[in-house]
Amino acid sequence: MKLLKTFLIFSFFPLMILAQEYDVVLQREKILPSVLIGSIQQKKEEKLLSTFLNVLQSDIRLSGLFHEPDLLVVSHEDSSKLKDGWLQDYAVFMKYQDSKFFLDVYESKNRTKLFSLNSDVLKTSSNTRKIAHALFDQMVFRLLNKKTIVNSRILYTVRSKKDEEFISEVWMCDYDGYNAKQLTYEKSYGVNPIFVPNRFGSSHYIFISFKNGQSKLFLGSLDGDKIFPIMPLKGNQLLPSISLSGDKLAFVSDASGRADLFVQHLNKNGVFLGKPQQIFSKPRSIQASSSFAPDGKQIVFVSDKDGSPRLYLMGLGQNRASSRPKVELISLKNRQNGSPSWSYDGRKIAFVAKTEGIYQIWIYDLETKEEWQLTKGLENKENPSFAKDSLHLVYNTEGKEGAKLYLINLMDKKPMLITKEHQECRFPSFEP
Amino acid sequence: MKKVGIFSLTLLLTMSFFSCQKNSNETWENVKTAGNYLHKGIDSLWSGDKDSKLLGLNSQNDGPQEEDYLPLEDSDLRSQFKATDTAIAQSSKTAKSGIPNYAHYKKPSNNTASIFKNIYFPPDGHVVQEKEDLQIIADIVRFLKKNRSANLIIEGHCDETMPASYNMALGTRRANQLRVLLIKQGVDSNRLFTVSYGKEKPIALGHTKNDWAKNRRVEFKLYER
Repeated sequence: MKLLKTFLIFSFFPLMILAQEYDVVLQREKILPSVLIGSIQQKKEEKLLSTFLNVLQSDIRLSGLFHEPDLLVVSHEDSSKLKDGWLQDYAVFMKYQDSKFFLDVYESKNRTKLFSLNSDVLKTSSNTRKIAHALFDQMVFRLLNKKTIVNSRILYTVRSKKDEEFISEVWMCDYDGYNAKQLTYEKSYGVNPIFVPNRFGSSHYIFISFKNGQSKLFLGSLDGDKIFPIMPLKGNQLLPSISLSGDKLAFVSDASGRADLFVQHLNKNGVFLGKPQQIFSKPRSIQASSSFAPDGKQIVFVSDKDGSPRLYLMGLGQNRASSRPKVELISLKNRQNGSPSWSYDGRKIAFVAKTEGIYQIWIYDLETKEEWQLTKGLENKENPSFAKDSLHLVYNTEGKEGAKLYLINLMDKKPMLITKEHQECRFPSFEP
Repeated sequence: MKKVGIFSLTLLLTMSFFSCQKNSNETWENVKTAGNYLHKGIDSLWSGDKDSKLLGLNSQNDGPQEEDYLPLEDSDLRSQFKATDTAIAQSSKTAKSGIPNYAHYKKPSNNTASIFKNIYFPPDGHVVQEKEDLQIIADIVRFLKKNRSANLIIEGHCDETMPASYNMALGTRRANQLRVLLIKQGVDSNRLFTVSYGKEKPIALGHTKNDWAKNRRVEFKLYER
């Protein structure tokens, strides 16, 4: 018996050692409400209604707050069908009358009308998308008391070739990829555009332009195509990030001869306060992209100071530090990490990490201090940027098929392609 | 009992063999990381390896007049590592305007192309080691010493195997490494400018190892008055 026990122990022990570690993930699919979108055909306004319904359907799908919506469009004669057996949690009926869109929202179980919404007068058909977004935003707020990201925009760059030279211009689009608009016409190279927080009462963005030879921080207006250099600092400036309150601008500069992390303080009008400060440097290492905590008191950045590029957290004091700040390594699971983006709720940091040979998006949970993989698939993913709901991310793929923008939400983890036309869309950044 | 002993020994040997098994990439990564930690240890013995100190908003915000930024206070950052870390601050000559007359910088022409050859790097590497590369640098130094009005832009480029944002910093490191080598051989630092394009401007558009090797490079642009 003793021999048998010993045999069993020694038989299973190597299996325990050699067995691969599997993460057992219990599916905790959040129960999302379902929605029926109903409408009666109006032949005169067919195109308008079709656009509106498509936008509403897309907003519901992309929101991550509802199940895939069901659509029911019936003729006048069959209008009674709209009231037949609702299987969804909510029914939303839409109509267009007197140049206005109307939404009636019902709770299916008791067949009670919860509320009605109506849009402003539609002056041009090109405003249909904007109106549909606005009504969806109101509907979600009334139903779930949540703000959506339908009014958030995305900055990104489009790379192309002109006269055998690569050029890259800054563009902007809606959160779903529509209304793409070119912002720069420099025929030069621009990367890393980020929105300047709106507290300065202006609509601006900062990006890196190579138009004067070296890479420098430039300021551009969302309404015009003029750009200006903003940082009189020697050497190259790269990889900007700005705090949510707009009081700190971080970037990488090689002014010292190394790629170091710098921070420039700004006053409430957006004017630079003093000189930029070198906040992290390490011999034989380079620092790369960074992202501020929403309260601006910490920064996460990439450094290869310990061998391979990893993410580090650092506190940002208000006074000259009397002791050394702690730099905490947070990306432990993978060796090659980059492009951190701190969520607006302060709880998560999205980043890229080389996972079985492919760069995937990972999430670091600041509360549990755990990392988990968000994306899968064979294409490399880069430059994740959180939307202000802290639920959605935009990122770009890179590979043989070109570079495309995708929107993904942390709940269902299904990436949605949002770029419509260009082949090389990169460096996306959500509007704060 | 003897049989059990032999059986256990065999199992232990099997376990130790499999548990230590790694592929060559992992081993290489471990060697690199271990090497860095070794350096760190040596640095600590030398003069104390310290993390950077923070500066904040206060009256010291304006900083010393001679600098256009507030440098870290770590004295060790400046004094130590001189033997192994070769960073040389950028020229402040063109802080406001960037590189002068950038449009006039050209790819080396027929006459100079044989001197200003591209220099290539291993994956994630930035150190010039090959004899022929050191020869290229020596030729460039000779040219620049002879042609005192010539200015040079050193462009750092990378392959597509790393993220674009990290590559921007890596290209900076490659370009600065070349700049330091030229300065150390007597070229005036005010004539040398660096720029990093990361993986933004590949010369080989394929996705093979050969293409990547061609893209991990430093290129030169020359301006002769």
